[in-house]
Amino acid sequence: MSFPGLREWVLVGWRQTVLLPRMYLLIGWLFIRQRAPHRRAIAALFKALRAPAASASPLRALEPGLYEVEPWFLLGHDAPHSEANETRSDTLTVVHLLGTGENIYSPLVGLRQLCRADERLCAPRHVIVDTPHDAAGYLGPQEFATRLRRVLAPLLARESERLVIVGLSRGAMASLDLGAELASTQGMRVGVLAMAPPMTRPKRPPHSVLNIGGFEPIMENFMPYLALNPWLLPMGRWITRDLYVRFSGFILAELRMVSDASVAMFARYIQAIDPTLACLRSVREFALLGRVSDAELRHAVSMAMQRFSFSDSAHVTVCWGDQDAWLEIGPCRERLESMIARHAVPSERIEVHTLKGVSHGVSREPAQDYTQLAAWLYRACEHARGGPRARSYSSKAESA
Amino acid sequence: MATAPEDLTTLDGIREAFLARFQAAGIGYHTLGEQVLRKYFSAESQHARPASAMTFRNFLQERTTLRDPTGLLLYFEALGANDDELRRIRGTLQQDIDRKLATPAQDVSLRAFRDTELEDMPYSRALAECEAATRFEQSVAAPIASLSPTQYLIGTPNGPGGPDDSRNWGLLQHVQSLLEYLESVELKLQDDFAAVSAGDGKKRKWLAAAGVREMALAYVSYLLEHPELAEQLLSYRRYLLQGPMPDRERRLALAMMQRMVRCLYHPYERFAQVIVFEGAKGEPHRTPDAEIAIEVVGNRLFGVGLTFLITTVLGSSGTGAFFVASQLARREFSGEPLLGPPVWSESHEALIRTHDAALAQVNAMVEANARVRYGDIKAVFERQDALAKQHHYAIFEQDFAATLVRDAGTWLATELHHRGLLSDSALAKFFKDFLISAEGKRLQQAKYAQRQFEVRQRAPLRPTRAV
Repeated sequence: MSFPGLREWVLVGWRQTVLLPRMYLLIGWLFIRQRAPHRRAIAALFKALRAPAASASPLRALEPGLYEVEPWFLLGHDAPHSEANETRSDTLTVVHLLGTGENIYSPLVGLRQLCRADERLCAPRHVIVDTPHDAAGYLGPQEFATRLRRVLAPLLARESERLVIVGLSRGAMASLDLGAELASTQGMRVGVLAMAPPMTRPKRPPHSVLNIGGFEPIMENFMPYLALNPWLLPMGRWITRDLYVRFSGFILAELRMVSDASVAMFARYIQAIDPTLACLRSVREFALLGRVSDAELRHAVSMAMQRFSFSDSAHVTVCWGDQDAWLEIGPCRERLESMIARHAVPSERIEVHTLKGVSHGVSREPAQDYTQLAAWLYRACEHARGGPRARSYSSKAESA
Repeated sequence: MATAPEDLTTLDGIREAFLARFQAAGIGYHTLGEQVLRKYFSAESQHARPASAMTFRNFLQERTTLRDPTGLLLYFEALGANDDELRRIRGTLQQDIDRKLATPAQDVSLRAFRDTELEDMPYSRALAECEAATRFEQSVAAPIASLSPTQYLIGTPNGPGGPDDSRNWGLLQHVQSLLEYLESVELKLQDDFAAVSAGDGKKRKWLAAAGVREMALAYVSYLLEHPELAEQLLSYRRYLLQGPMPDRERRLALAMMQRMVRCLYHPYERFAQVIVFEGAKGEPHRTPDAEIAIEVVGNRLFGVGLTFLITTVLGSSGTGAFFVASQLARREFSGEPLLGPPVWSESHEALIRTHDAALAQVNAMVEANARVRYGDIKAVFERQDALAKQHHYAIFEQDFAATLVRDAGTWLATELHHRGLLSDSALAKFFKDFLISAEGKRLQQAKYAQRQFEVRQRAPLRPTRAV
């Protein structure tokens, strides 16, 4: 073994040893904090993982990080169906941006419910955007947003006229930012549905966020540790898989996503992906969520509203659930309304709502009434379809 | 007795000189006229058909307005003017004619600038006046630009070279391009930074410091390659003399600039986080006070790029006086044994020398032919610009980039201390670690061995018409 290799081996091993007490503490906290809904969700997830995987995937990979939802799934079938080919009559694309801790399968159950509530929502293409994996994307919210835009770039190169963007939580903030940019710079007709966007930092971040995010330094060191000790890899995979299932159980429980179908979707993802990578990304996401500052959120809201104020090709709907345990809805709403007033965003361009009896998992809860959400999403689609794109500055210049 | 030298660069000088020669010759105008005609018909001279002797007399006695001075050249030759004198006379006469011809057009153009007259005009007429006036001088930075506010913002992509030619871009295209470019630099810097584990603090600090320098260099490189951007960004007030400012585009420019500036400050935020707030819990660089401090110092830090642009790039063009004056001590003492790092280099000297040479060349061109094409003169200056650019980069590296990290650290620490975010002891410790320790000195010199960016080159020079 070369000397630098030995040095690295010693360093990484030493760090891992130093981090052990932290790890025990966090794992202990994870167990202590488990309540009945958490335990039920974790048990359901383990059970689903033991069951054989369903055959046909409802997602089709388009580009790295972009997945199209199969039309047959939206129509309520569990396998490819000829009816699906007849339904697709629309060229409109609806992009779904994920919240923290979610995976590409997370929005599917809710999306199917939305389509059931309003069948016209089956017509557009639904594309799910995966969260970036690379460490650099989790240095800060701006870095994350830049990388998310890069993932979306191939889709945006094709869809230059109209687009609907739907996002939950962190994805909702990203949808506001992206929608504002596309409408203002390119004149695209954009409909935005932002669900539960964290517009202020809660005084005390949720325990789950702090707990899962706290694993970040451990996991960051664990990856090179496994790479230097390949004989530990099977055990490492087992540990990270177990951890990731527990993290997912917490998310499922707290976003009230516990239904057989939702759990099966999570299990499908866990079965398909390298658990070490999934776990690493998850702790990075939560660490970022725990780190994000109120100032950063304030800038993001202000800059999006500033752009919407002069982008008449955009329409925005923002909503929160009144039982959101992860956010303080009052201050979020207050901030949004003050920014709308400051930048004089026309009232017909933005709607703000609060849904009764809904938690942070807006559009993810199986028991939720989807009628209202479906109406808003359809309204966003209608807005995107409803006319030619506005003239961008470059098209104005060319015709000048 | 020595006679006073003749001044052939003014009409009065020519008249005085040749009136004296005519009187010394002791002949009359008719005799002179016959001599000239004889010479013309014998084809001994290549000059044009001569004017009458009375026209020459009227010229000497200031009674005529010249329209075609070539008819007088044989008279000057007959009175003993040699080739060099004839060249100078021809230049002077031509300049005078050009001036006379230009005067009516100039009058029309400048009429719009007379405040009282312009302010009394209906708006529509003021627009027409300014269009005529500003075509006269194609400078974006002029108080009244050659561009309307709309063109200023969205450009003129139908111009020569099309929409890809950056000279046809408006502010929005430039800012968009700069934003994409800075984002690509920032993505590389992020990748490098994120690839180092949080435990390796020494390397992360080095990368954070090198990132600040690299981003500044990328930004300055863009300004050097696209000088129009700086002119547009920093343009003086516009009184809407060429049409209204389109509101939507102006607000878009504002939004895009905000994003661009935030992108520019990202490496600086990392710098604050790992070097100045080293070891502090949470995200202390994200509090409102810290954000304000970062912005205040960020403005100053990236103002360094503009200082360089003003003192070195713009200051070394035109008369070149600003650059020479701002480097007075450095140039003067460059040969002395100095304690500090070098302050003068071959690039500094070459920048002055090549500019002097270009000016001398252009002066000679004008002297040789007063009707030289403006495009030819411009080409000389553009060649000089291309030469100067490499010296600009070298000067930025030596005079500005080398101290950028030190300035970033000291400015930010003092600003944070001023705002109560760093205690006295924390400030003293930071200065000791950053300015005095070997590790601090290493950080101050942190620099990527290879550039992490590639600037989109400006479109090549448009071809000039052959003379």
